[in-house]
Amino acid sequence: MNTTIENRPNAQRAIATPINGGEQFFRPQFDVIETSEAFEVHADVPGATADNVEIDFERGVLSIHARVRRDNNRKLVRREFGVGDYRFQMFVSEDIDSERIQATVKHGELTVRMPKADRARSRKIAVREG
Amino acid sequence: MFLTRTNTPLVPFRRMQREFEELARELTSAFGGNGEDAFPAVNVADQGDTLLAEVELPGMKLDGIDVSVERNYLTIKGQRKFENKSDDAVWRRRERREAQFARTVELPCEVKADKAEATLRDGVLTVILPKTPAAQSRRVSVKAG
Repeated sequence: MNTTIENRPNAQRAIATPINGGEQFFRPQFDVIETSEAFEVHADVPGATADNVEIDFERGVLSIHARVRRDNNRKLVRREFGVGDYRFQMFVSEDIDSERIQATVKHGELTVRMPKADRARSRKIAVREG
Repeated sequence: MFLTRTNTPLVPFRRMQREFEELARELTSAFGGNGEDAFPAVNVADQGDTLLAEVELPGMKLDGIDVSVERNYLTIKGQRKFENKSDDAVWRRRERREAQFARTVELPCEVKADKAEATLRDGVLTVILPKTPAAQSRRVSVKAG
């Protein structure tokens, strides 16, 4: 299977990517796990909560936008991470049962489970002696 | 002005500089220093009488985290473990780290360790650190004359 991730150069977690008028988005660090039944995406989105996450799946592209409240008035004396919305997109080449996609956010960790469509599921084929 | 990247005599030096920077980053993070990759990432804000430290700890629960404060040092220790998935799980992409970590960051002034308060919410640990009276008095307010 082929999972390609639309990845802008230098779009690391710590580097803000200014899109439309200086607003900063961050690409979260994430893992993709495949089982015989589904693909699972686990992304680190510290500061985001379930009611502020939008997930969209269209034509094989999973898009995630997690909103994070930012406080720009703080006087930072050490800054190792930026605070802002998370965004990323991922292309999944296999058929997904989009009606059954499930997503949860817990402790700043986003999990998206994308069940494979029946025809994309791998099956073991018994081989008999001839 | 017209700039071309090819055939300039500085190209090998730029490459060398990049390699040195890369090496420096690797060394600082290897020693648990303040390299870009140090985990967990810490922000510290000065709020006048208190310091506010925020630590990114996604997916972690409070019982797995140990926070300690001594003079002007904040230490965060813990372990990040992912739940074991089913047997047929295959990693297609892996960016997140599963690791034991211990990180100490220097604060800009001394704080009252016994008055520090930590809360963990949505994967962000917030530590409120009241400054010691000595640290507070060091601030001198300057008024417009």
